[in-house]
Amino acid sequence: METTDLISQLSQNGPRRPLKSPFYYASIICVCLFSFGLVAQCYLGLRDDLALQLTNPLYILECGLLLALSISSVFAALISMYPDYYRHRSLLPIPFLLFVAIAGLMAWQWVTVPLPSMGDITFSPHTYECTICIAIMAVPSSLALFWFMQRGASITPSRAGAYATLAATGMACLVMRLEEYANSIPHFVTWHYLPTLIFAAFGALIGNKLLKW
Amino acid sequence: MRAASDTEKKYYHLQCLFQDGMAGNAQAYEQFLHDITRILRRMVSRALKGEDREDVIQEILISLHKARHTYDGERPILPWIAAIAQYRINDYLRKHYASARHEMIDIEDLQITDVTELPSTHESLEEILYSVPEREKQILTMMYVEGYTAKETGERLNMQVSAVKVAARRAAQKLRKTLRYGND
Repeated sequence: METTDLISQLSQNGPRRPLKSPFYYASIICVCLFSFGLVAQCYLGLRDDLALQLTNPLYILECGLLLALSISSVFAALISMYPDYYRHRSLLPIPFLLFVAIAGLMAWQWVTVPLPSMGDITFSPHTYECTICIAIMAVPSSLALFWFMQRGASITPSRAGAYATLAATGMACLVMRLEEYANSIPHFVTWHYLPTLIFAAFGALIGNKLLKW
Repeated sequence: MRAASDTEKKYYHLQCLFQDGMAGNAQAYEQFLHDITRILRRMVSRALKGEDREDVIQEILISLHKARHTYDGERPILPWIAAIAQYRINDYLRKHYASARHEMIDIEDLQITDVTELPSTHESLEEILYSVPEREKQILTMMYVEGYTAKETGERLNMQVSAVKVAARRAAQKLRKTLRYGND
């Protein structure tokens, strides 16, 4: 087919309503995501020593970083829907930097003397159950995000997929952190954060399939 | 305030055409697609060589059309176009190299030739040079063997530069013909 014929054919297709700002969608999705997290938290409950833990600045910092990871990943995923990243490319590394900050915090807590409010940092009542819980919470929210992101036209589908999964697993990790009566750093690294990284890699693979256009 | 450059005006014009197109003006949208085809041609010819360039341009046009809802007309249009074009070019290159890597060649399709047979019956270039007139042979030798420029050759042979170039080209054509088909 000649290019001129193609152009006249395309121009007959009619206009399409443009997407709104990614920040608008991201705000709505954040509200939905954290409402889902709240429901899950109500179902799972809160840890018994939460009041004591809230006096520990490292615990608050970790929860804050998880919250920031989830929110920034939602924003990054939504920005990735636009081919030109809505002129906000600089926001894209933030989720990865936050994840590195969480890993750094874990490492720092492991090597330094723990605070009294942290309790026994090697104690953990369970192992893989946490990963399963995180996966159960993350799968529906990731799928919902993927479904929404299919409206866009991402030029980095695998990265967009990784952001979507990070947003969902970040929220799930936060819920687990508020629920689980454990302070074991090796447990968090092995059964919370390492799986988060694996889920993000898996999300990148799925994103490459689902978000291609 | 700095006056808008021609390029800025051009892109602003494109932005207006796109916005008009999205408001339902099919003619403006068609004009927009025509105008960006020129930009795309330049982009694609910088990135790709070969016959598939027009196909890639058409792919990009279809992609721009499919993704037209991701541009609201408020941001600069060129980064949006360039991002989609680059995405499609990379996609094409990825597919192209993947297929080139796995391409199966049937052994029967190969034209196996006798590698010991010389493509030409001539024993040396010296012999082939006898097939061109003396003057042209001299020009070829000076320019391609001894390394003189066309101007220097012209000065030495008392010829104009243009005449030297014409003679050299004619002689080269004759040589090519002789190498390909022999002296017949």
